Order: sequence, then C-alpha cells, then structure tokens
Amino acid sequence: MEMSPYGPRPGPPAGPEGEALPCGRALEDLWDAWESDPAAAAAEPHARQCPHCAAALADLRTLDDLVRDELARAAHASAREGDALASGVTARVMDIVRTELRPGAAVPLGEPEEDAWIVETAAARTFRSAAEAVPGVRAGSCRIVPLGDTQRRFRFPGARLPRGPVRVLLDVTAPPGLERPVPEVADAVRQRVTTAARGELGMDVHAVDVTVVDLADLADLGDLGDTSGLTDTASPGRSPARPADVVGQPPEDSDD
Amino acid sequence: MTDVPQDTTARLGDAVARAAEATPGVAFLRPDLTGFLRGAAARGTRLRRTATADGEQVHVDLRLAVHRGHRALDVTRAARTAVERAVAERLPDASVSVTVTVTALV
Repeated sequence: MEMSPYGPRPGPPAGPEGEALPCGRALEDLWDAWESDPAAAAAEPHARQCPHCAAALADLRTLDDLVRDELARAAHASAREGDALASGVTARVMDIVRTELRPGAAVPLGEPEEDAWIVETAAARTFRSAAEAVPGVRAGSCRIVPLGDTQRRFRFPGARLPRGPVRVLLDVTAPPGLERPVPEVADAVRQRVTTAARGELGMDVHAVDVTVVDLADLADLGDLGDTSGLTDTASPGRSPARPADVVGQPPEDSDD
Repeated sequence: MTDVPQDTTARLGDAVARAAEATPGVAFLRPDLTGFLRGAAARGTRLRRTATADGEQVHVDLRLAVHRGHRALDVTRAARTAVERAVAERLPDASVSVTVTVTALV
C-alpha cells in the first residue's frame, strides 16, 4: 500500500470494494472516528493535512448541522407532545446515513436465476416496521441470512448472499403484562414479517426466527427505566435462563 | 479488446440512466449521500461493454432507491426491462445483462 502524501493514514486500508477516499482512508473509519469524538477526528495529524479527509469531515459537519436544525424544528413543533417526534427525526436521519455507509450484504429478490437484490439494511427496516405493527412490540436487531447457513457472515461492502431462500432473525421486545402469551406474539410478528417480505419486497423468506424478550423480566433486573437499551443484542433481558421464544417457520411456497 | 467509441458509451449510459429513472416506483438512482461525502457525484449506473467473438456484450449495474408503496421486486423487474430496451434501441445486436440492487426504500 502506498504512503499517503498527507502523513500516515490511521486505520486499516479500505477493502477493495469499500468506500475509500482518494487518500485511501475508508470513509467509514473517518465516520467512526468523527462519531466518537468530532474534535479528535479533526485534530488527528492525517486529517489535519489531508484535503480529502478534511472535505469529508466538513461535509459530515454540514450534515450534522442539518440534523440539528431539523431536530430543533421538530422539538419546537412537538413541544407539547414530548420528544417522541424529535427522536423520530434523529432516528430517521441516522438510519439513512447508516444505510448509505453500511448497507450490509445484498439479499436476493425474486427467483433464483434473477439478478435482483436489496441491501440488508433496507430490508431489515421493512421487517422491523412490519413487526412493530403488532401492538406493543418494539423490534430490535434484524438480520437476514441464507436459509440453511445462519452462522456465515457477509461483512464486506458489496457482499452478496447466495441466491435462494433466506431466513430472517428478528429480536423483539413485548410490553410487560402481555394480554397474549409470548408464542402468540411471536406468531403475529412472524405473520407480519412474512407478509411484508412477500408483498412489499418480493423476497423469498422461508423462515422467520422471532426472539421475544418480555419487558416484565427486565423490570426484575432493575432496568425498566432504560428501554433504549432493550433493542440491543447485548440487552440484559437476554440472559440464557430466559425462556425466550425462538420459533422457526416451516418452509412455504414462494409467491413468484 | 474493444473498438467501442467512448462517446457512444457515454450516451448509452445516459439513455440507460434515463430509462431507469423513468420507471414507476424508482425514486432515484443510487442514493448519492456517499458520493456527496466523497465530493464526487456518482451515477446510479455502471456500464461495461465488452466485444467478444460472439458480438458485443453490455452489462449494466443498476443501483436504485424504490418508493415505498411499490413492491421492490416488481420495480427491479420493470427497471431491468426498461434498461434492456434502451440498450437494444441503440445496440440491436448486443447481448444485455442487468444487475439491479435496491439500495434504499424511501
């Protein structure tokens, strides 16, 4: 790898298909550095001298300003309704930004011989919204994997799953004091996700594994106040002793 | 390997992009935020022309955002058809293949 003329470049080189700046630095690394500490990212020797990194950072700041403006507007508009709207705007903007920078693997759409794909993040967002149409359910981590190979990772930007049916792995939280038993909630979620896969995407989803974490159990762990962490895969509700409901769905016909 | 004039390729690229953009359900070609951050506007299509013994092959790599309310698969199929037609109009003898990737639902 050639030396950058703007001093040593921090971080590993961008992968062959990654979004690398002209200086060779991966945009995602720069983004990560900026996200964790904007001042430090800008002060780092390479970024101070490199016009490409400086330009990218300036653009990120522009984006950040836009988000803040939008937030301020939304906060003003929703002053009487609490901060639900404001956080919704942040979530939406950050969602778009993350999809752009970390699209995830491409997942097959349509028939095995077709050459049509959708990036995992876009599909996962569709499935999360579908799951959240079930009253009280909040969706967390959502991954899409080959039907028979749940362990394989597709890390590189531009990676593609093999053509063929897929499995959706979805974590959801359900409210305490459920009126319906957990398996019923899981069934309802699975139904919504399957319908969305078929009707909104055209994806051949053969199985939906739903993991339901009941918020009532989290209350026992003294963590009820912070619901934001519940969607994380490291959430305290996922203790191994929890009888979480993980149910696969038998293969069914594709609609195409 | 190729005796394909480059200006034709540029025009073909434009025609392909226009055909894809005009497809119902296509919001825009490849979300451009990354291009914006890199200071370069990326087109939503990549075009590769190869001359082979059997004639010319054109491969189009299409990346697009789909409007919610349209089924993603149907939009990819319509966009593929539109792009194949656009290429066939200009290069009737070429064989065409199209990869379509939905990069966002907006």
